[in-house]
Amino acid sequence: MTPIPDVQPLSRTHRKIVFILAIVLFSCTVPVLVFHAMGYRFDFSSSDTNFKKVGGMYVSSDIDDVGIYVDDQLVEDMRVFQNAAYIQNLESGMYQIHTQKEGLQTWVKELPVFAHYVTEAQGFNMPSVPQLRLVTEFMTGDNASVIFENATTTHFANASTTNTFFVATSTATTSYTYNQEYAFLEQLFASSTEKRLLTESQNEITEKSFLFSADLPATTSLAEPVATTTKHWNDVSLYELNDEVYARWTGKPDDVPHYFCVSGIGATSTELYYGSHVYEAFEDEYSASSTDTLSDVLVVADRFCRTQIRIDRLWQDVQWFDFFPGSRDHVLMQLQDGLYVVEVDDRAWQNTQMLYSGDYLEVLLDGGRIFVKDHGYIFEVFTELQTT
Amino acid sequence: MEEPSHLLPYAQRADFKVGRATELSGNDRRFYRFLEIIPGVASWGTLIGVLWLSNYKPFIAAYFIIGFAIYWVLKTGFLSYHLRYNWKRLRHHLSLDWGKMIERFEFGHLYQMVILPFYEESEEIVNATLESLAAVRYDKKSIIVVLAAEERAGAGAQKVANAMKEKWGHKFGSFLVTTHPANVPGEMAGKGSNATYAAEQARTLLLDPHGIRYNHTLVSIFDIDTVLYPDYFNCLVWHFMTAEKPLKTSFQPVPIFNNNIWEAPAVARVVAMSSTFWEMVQQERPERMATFSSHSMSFQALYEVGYWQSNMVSEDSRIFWNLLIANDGDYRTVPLSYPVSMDANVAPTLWGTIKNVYRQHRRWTYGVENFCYIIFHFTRNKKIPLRKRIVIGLQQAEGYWSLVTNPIMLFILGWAPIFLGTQEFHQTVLSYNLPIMVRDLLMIAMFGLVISSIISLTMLPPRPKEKSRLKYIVLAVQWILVPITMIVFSAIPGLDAQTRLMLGKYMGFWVTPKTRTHT
Repeated sequence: MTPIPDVQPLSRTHRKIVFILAIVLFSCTVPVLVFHAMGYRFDFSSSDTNFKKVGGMYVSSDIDDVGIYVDDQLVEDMRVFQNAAYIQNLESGMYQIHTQKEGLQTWVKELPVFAHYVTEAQGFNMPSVPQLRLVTEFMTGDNASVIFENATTTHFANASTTNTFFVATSTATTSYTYNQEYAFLEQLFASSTEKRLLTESQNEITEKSFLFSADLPATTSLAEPVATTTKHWNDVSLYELNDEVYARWTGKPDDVPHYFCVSGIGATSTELYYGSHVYEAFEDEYSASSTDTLSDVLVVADRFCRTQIRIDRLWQDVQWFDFFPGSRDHVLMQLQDGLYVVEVDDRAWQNTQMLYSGDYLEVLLDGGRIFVKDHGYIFEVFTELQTT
Repeated sequence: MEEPSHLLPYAQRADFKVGRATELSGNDRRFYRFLEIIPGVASWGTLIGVLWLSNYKPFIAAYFIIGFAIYWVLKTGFLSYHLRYNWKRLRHHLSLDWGKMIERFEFGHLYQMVILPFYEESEEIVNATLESLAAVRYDKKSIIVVLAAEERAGAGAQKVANAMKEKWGHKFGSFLVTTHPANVPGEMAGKGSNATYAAEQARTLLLDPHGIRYNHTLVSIFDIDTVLYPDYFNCLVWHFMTAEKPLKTSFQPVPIFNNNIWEAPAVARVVAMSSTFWEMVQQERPERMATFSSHSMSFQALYEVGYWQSNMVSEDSRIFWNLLIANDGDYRTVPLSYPVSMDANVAPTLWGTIKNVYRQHRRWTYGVENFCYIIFHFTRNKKIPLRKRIVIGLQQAEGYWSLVTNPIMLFILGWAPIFLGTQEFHQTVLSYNLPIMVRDLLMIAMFGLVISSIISLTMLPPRPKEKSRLKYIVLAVQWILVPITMIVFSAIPGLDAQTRLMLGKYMGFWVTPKTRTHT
């Protein structure tokens, strides 16, 4: 038996060496990781410059498992639920990004990336083929929607319905049950139309009263109408003015969404990075700020932010608009040839995706659901691909 | 009870056993109160400071958090290294025949006094402890058992004590049952006052009448749920005989909270094993170690400072600081790297367990009251080498500060700049990289948990027949709970305790209920 245990306590010298090693490791690692986190990279490929500065891009989408591409390269490193990606190590420059998924329309944008900064973008992808649910006046016993034979079924030629329907050969309704949802939606459409007509006539009256006013300020155009329908949600207002629809930021300057802002204003740089329309919008806001207290350019940190963005109406008349359900970044807009989703973000351009094609539509939102009345038929329009 | 003449010179000071500021007067009181406020202010200041920085200076906060996460990774590695080494040493010590090892020493003159303070614990718990004591490989006639009951526990405790004396009394050299009177003025009801009363009773009733010398008596104070391994006293004697200054030394075993580990819920298991691991880490850096829970020392050392303090909560560690200060810094703790088994904190229900674990840890972390005591006396006792005072003071301050702030900063505030930072910060690469970097660093740090998981599996008692083998998988995976347990059962109770001390809302002694279905 040995007089002392073979395994002795850790010696002070040994522990001191480990401690010193830890301090050395700490001293070396902290600056390396801090600089890395700030966007500095060691450039092994170049013999001239050892360090390069990089930026990043954050692209998100509401669609799970969407493909995010940067300059046509698929981003592999996606976040949880596969609907966002933070793309690192991008050198300063312009990048084309797009999000796509089978069965959905493609969202494309070209945005600049600056060293040490992250450019944010939010893609959206509406179904290529409208996803509809038919809501009919009558239902069969097994919950199939009833369409009478004399009705045309061409409405479904370019759409996908999620519910089964039954084509009746007779107009007799005794064997069917009356659909309460249909009655409710009919009522909503009726009141919605009534409200819209009332608003339009009121607007006409208001315009006329301005036209005949003798006390108008000299700088105001006699023909300039006031904003009509205004929708407000989550610190953003949507309103129509001069037949254009605008999104206006009404919240705190510090909370302004990123796409209202650019990193420095200059005729060359802003046009180059974001498009001439963005630069002109800034110019307009600057010039308007002297006469219109509503218009002003915000300076947030080192960025310049507009307070309003014009929504692209594809040179058509706007018949109806509202916020896309659950989003302040997208607008649901009924134009002459159909119902569209338009993004507010106008950097580079505004992506516009058709949700439902057709003229003389009636559209309403109810509890975050979109309903369209087309030639007497009522549909619920889905914004995501339906599995059934 | 005490005759000042037997106390060491510094221990004769009126303020030697100060428990709180209110026991002092004048400048001393103000200074002590100031010291009571410092830990809470430092911890709250740090947490609020990180929030403030995150809000107003997010870039600085981000740099600090990255640095802090790296510090945490290295600290985890550093501690894991100590843990792994002590595990190796512990296993080696368990494999040794300590009885043979001490044959070369003349130790027949040594007596082992075992003080077992208890309150309302069941006969089953007390019996298991005495059973393990009767089974140790040591001359039982040299063992003096002092079963220390509390009067305030009522007739039930007396009944248990008498039954135990009846059952086990003949197995040992002496078996003394003491009953600590209730409501003694100036005392806080708790383990310290009971143990002090028991030690003095043992002195006057056993040691003095039998002429047993104090320097020949080793006192082991054990929590009532302590189950001894067979060679505990042999291991203790070996370390006592080989210690440089045995009478100026406390001996600390490794408390393994595993008596009832198979019945404990995952939360209790992780917390219990974490406490064991912390003690194992400390075993490899004894200069930072104070006594904790069950431990041993000479009766003489104890007598020279008037036993344990009876006016405060954490008497188990305070006795070490009493001894260090009274001996002008010439006192130390020797790690035994030999285990004693104790109970994990388990209540009949999960919620009850969670509450009890929280309360137990709040009591343990109330050990921050020792910081005030140490600093107060370090400014008074200039005979303690200055370097020692500075090093210990800083170690203690860092220990109590990091206990509270580190888990919260790592797992919660690490993300604060992202939520609180300015727009200017939010658009930067740094803002996006910060959570990724902190997450990756924490993942690396979590490798330390793999070591913990493996070690914990080797320290389990035999699996009860009714428990499935699959339970081993649960026991291995349970360590992913550590980030939660560190916050809920370490940082928050620590902050709670420091805040109470800071506000002068002093805590009393809370007795951890013992529940066990298997012994």
